[in-house]
Amino acid sequence: MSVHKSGITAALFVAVLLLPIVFSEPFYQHIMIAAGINIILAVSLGIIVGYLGELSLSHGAFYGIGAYTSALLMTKLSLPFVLAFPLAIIFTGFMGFIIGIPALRLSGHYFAIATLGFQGIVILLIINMVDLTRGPMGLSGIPSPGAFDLFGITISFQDKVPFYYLTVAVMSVVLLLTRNLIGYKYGQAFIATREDPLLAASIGVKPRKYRMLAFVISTAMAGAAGSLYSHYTLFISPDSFHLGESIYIATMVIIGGRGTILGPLVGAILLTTLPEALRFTGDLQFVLYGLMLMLVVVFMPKGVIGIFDHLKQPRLQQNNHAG
Amino acid sequence: MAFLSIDNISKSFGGLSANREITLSIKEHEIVSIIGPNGAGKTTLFNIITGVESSDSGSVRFAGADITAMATPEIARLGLVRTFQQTKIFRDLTVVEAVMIGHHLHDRTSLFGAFLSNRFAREQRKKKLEIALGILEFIGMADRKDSITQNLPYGEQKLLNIAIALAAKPKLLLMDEPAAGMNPTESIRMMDTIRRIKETGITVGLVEHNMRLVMNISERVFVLNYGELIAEGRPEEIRNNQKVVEVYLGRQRRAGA
Amino acid sequence: MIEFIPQLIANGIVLGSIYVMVALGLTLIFGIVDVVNFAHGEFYMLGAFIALMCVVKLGIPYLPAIVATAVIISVFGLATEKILIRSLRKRNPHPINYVLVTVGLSSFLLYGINFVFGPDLRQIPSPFMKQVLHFGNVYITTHRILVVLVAAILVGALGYFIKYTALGNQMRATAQNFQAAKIVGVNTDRIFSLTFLIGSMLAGIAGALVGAMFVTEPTMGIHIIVKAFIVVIVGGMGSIKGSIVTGLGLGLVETLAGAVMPAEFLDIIGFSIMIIVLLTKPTGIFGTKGNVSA
Repeated sequence: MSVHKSGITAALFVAVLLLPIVFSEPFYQHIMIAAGINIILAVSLGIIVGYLGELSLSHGAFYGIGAYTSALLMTKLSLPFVLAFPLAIIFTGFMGFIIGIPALRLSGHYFAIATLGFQGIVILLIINMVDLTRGPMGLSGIPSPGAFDLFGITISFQDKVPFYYLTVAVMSVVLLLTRNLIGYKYGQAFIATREDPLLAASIGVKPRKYRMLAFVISTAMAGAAGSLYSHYTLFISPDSFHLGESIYIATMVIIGGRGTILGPLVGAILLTTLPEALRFTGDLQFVLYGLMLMLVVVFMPKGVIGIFDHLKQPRLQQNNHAG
Repeated sequence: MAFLSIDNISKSFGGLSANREITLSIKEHEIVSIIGPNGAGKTTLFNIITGVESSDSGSVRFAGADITAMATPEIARLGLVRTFQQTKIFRDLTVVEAVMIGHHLHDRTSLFGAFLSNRFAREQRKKKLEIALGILEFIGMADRKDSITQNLPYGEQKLLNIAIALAAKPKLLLMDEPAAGMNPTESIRMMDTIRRIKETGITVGLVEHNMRLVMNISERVFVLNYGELIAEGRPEEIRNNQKVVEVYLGRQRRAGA
Repeated sequence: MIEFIPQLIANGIVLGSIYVMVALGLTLIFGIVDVVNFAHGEFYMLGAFIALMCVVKLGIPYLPAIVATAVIISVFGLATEKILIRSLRKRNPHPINYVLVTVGLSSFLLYGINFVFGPDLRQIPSPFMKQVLHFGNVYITTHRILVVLVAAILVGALGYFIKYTALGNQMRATAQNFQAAKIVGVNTDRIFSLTFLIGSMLAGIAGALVGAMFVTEPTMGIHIIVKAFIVVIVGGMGSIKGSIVTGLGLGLVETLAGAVMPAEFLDIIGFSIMIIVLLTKPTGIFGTKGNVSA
């Protein structure tokens, strides 16, 4: 990354860290946490939509799998958050692998429909396994990540500010991992698979392997978002993870701009803050999002950030600067 | 021993015989061409060799291994790479990025290495970039390195496909009509490029219609007609082969000679 | 228990008829335009609301209201194709873009109607709901008979249209080979518009019928679209026969099995079968690649 870009990123990062101090009302802090979780969801879906060129409508389901797994590991097995969180990620990624085996044999709108099917199946299973998940009534009493002592002060993750920093930490890791995944060999393989699978195969890229890799990584990240959500809201129900949620996340990616990392990030921020700003309109805002989705797909295929075309994703070759 | 040997390959599509018991072999470091009228089964043969299609019967061996049932990526891993007649290339990428992708097989970056952006990953990427620039230099497209691939004219897209294939460090490069749609100047440049590729030690196999190019650079020529191999030999032998002449009677003008 | 079976079968046929009507439109659009119309359920929902307004606000009697609905919905379908789908076709025709744009349309319509009418459940007043006939121990309202009748008429008319009219032949040609159809002079743009018109009309009529039989509410489209996808995939994209058989089959299976199994279980099986078909024979049980067949 050039010095110029590193400077901007560092400044932005500091700004993000200072946000809860500038906006000290719990209401704003809640939005910031929600935005952070949505960024993780959007960026991870962006790997599939942008770099593999496929639309997955099952991201809400994986979000839910992460949430329920993490919650149950803490409530039923009394595991601490530091264990429940990574285990939930691994399990969600594993489910991504299982579902990916059949689903990734398809592409285009068949793939989208198959993920729609899996989305439905997962939610129906969650609703049905009442003994485990309490079905439609939802799981309550989920513990927060806990508390620890720092210089004699107890910092509890039930408070918004500490949880915000936890979210920022996870989000930053996700962003970094995604940027590195895309910037090196793997991102190139994804793009090759997306653009011309035959040409990609002719130079040794196995489409199936890379599609699965992208899918598993993407779903595992959604699992991380789910775990965070679980231990933030302390109550989850299938309603938060159904098809509507999958569509909502996809809308963030598309409106923000697919095929980049910045796009889904911007889309997530936009679609988390807009609903708050437009809360007074009631359900009318959702009409707006539907309209925005249509307009963006037809007229602005690069999304909102396509307007700022010079702020591209990290180019695969780093212009002879230190990479 | 033959570098690539094709033994009794047959393939038919719904009753139509595309390849009929074709047997031929290529020696290491040769340049060979496969010619024949349209529909003679040349591209089908290429597709079968490179795992894009499967044959009904027969076998293909490359560098000592049986590749008949292998998939295209594995065949590429063994060193057999092909170019395509028509390709979308990798749309939004720049030329140099596209060539870098060609080097995929030799990029040893591990997943964790990539995640951590460690020194090895960065060095591999730097190496890929250098190799890509070198290949673009070799092929004469260095000045286009930052152009977007889909903006390239057709002739340069074909060159780019070759550059991408070269980045994969093939031992045998099969090119499907590299000179198609090119004007005489471009064809001469292509001829020169192919010659220089062979000089780097790569074995070359061509499917071509451009007779001047074929006769000029091939060491051996195979002629297909209606799915059958009807002649093989040195260019002079082929030019004077009665059967071949008959097949091409009336097609000579279209063959671009 | 067994004495209920005839009643369940009757109900199953009614439900199946609804599925057939909705799936037919979707399968035509799939087969001919090669577009996944995620907003198809919303055309169905719109049909119900349009019929509701005709009867309740404009005082039009129920049957003419259905006709009016058919006309109005057709205009919507036509507009969708001409404005949305065609623009995408000219600019950015990747398959998932059609999915995305119709998803956007679906949200737009659903929340739009929700905003205007509110989420309350309503019912279109239909004179046929009041008369109950019975055959043995099967009780059935005349409205339900109407549903089956309308479905049969529509299916018959569509089948005839596809098989025996010039336009119908052009639709089949376009489905089979878009390029070839263009070469022989078929105005494929017009055929696409016509397909959307017919498809949305079928969905709208189904909505108008269901809106009187069950409920009219903004989310009714979501419930039906999923079923429609299952029918279309399993029955075969573009296969009218497939939609009929699978639609009726689904209606019957759901009603019969639903008496002994929880609904979620059935839905899981439905989705699973759809996925299995996608993986093994994506053209469905009756479909053949790129074909619209009656």
